[in-house]
Amino acid sequence: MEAEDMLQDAFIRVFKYIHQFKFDGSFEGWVRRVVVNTALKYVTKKKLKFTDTDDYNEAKNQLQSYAYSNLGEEEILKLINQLPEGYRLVFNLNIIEGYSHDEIAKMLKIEASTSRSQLVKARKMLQNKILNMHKIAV
Amino acid sequence: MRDNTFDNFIKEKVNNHASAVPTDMWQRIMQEKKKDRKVIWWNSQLLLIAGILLMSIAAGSYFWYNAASNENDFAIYNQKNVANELPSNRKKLLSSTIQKSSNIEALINIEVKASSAEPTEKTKAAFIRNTSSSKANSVETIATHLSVSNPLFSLRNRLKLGQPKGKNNIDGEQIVQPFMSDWEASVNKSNTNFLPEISKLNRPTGLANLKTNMNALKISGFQKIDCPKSGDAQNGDWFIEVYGSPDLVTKQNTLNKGTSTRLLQSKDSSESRQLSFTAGVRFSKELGENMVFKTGFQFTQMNEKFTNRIENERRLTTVVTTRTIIGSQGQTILVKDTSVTEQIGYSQTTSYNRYRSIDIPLLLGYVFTLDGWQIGVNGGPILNIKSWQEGEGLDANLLPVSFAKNKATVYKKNTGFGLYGGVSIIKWVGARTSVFAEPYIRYNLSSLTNSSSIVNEKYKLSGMLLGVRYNLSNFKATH
Repeated sequence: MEAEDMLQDAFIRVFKYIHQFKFDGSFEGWVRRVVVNTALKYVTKKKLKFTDTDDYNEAKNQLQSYAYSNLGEEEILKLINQLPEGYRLVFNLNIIEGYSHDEIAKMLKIEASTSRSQLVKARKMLQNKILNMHKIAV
Repeated sequence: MRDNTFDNFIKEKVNNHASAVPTDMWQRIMQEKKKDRKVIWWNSQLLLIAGILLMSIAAGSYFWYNAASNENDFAIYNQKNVANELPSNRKKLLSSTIQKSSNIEALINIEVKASSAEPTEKTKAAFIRNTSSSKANSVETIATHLSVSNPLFSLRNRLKLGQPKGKNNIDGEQIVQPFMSDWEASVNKSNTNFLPEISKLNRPTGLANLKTNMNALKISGFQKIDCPKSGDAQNGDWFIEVYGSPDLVTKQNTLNKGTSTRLLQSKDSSESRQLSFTAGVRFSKELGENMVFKTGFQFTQMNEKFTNRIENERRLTTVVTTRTIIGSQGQTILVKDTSVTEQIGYSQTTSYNRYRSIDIPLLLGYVFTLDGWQIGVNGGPILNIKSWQEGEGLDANLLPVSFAKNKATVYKKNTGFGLYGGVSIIKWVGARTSVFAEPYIRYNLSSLTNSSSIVNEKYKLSGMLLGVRYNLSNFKATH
């Protein structure tokens, strides 16, 4: 439900500020940026805290490609949604949306180093979750 | 495994993920959009009305307060300063009284008694104003002239410079004659140091003029005086005003029936307003003490930048990727992937649109004075006599079409009435010349486009008129 509200709000903003689009880049990219900014506005309202979570083990082996190559879209999304909110946000912005750590730092008003560490931890946690899933399956 | 491989895998899997959108989402967005537009429209209208109301209240309050305070100021001044500026041996002989009648008329009696060594005379001058509307300016004028070091010097100066107009007005010399006779006798007979200012005057010329003028007048005990305003013209004067203004334009596009919202969106995004201008000449005629009527001709040019991008070419590129995979038993498998990439080319059109018009403003104004500045609140209809446009815009198929001055276009040749409101600030820089600045708002009531057009276009202009004003009438005022 929250995602729908964000989408609706984002499109209202697109119409409202469409005169500011200067044809410098792609229209799709501009709309994507508006949508992401709207979503971030919702997130920042929650006063998100970027804390470290210790439920992963750094010493675990590297995840081999066979372990995840068969994963489907829905399974991956489900696993990402299980990440703590701070991890998930940075992971989505960096890996999926392609924003740099400096851009993420500006958007979320955090340090770029915090963004980097959150990403590393998010990635590790996601890999552990995939490994655990495999163990259960075996 | 390297992190990059994992990241790329996740990105590839999730990047093109699409979630189902509720079917009524688009309706919800459009409803919210309409609400938003209504709120903006109402807010802008409310702000406009509130601004006009605020200006009217401020002008009215100032006028009311100014009238009251000027009357009090004059009374205080008359009691304190006039007495103080006379030599000490005359102070005790001078008494000033101010009486106010119940029907808002001001009566000022000044009694002057000569010393025992000189002939004793009692002179009484009365300043009566019959109407409350002329009260403020008359009191202000008298107070202004008394502010020179000697009241008689001031009054005498005024008499040399001109006579007030109006069939019910009686020349100010009537009032001054008793003063002048008294003071002339005093100065001639004995004490030339009594009023140094008077003794220094060019007596033969000044007094001869006064005597000549005064002989033609009949003096009564109480007379009316209506002096021209200091630093201003007299009632009924004509002015010519030449002005120019940088303008900001706000355009409101609305759909006609049967037009798609997509056109409106495309039109809004393709047009951006640029700095525009207005220039004109108008004549202003004073009506009574504070009212002014203004009319003339003005030229307005609204500038707009039109940018449109349309797709004009598509190119398909086929990419074949061949990979060799070695199986677990050592066999070689050749895999070919074929993908097609589509490239789209766009052509961009940019033009600068010009919307020009010649209009006749028909304005009524209310003018008052504030510390040597004149403030005017002007408003009224503005009548368009001719409009023409040049440039490019979108047609119903979202394709750019040009509209030229002499071609039949979607735009009207006459856009009808508009409303104008402005506040002018005027500063006198010479006997006949003044400069003014006038922030204003102009709103066109009807659309610039024909009724058959796919879109209605209404404009609102705001700007700052900067100009020069010149008095065309016979000028007899003082500064």
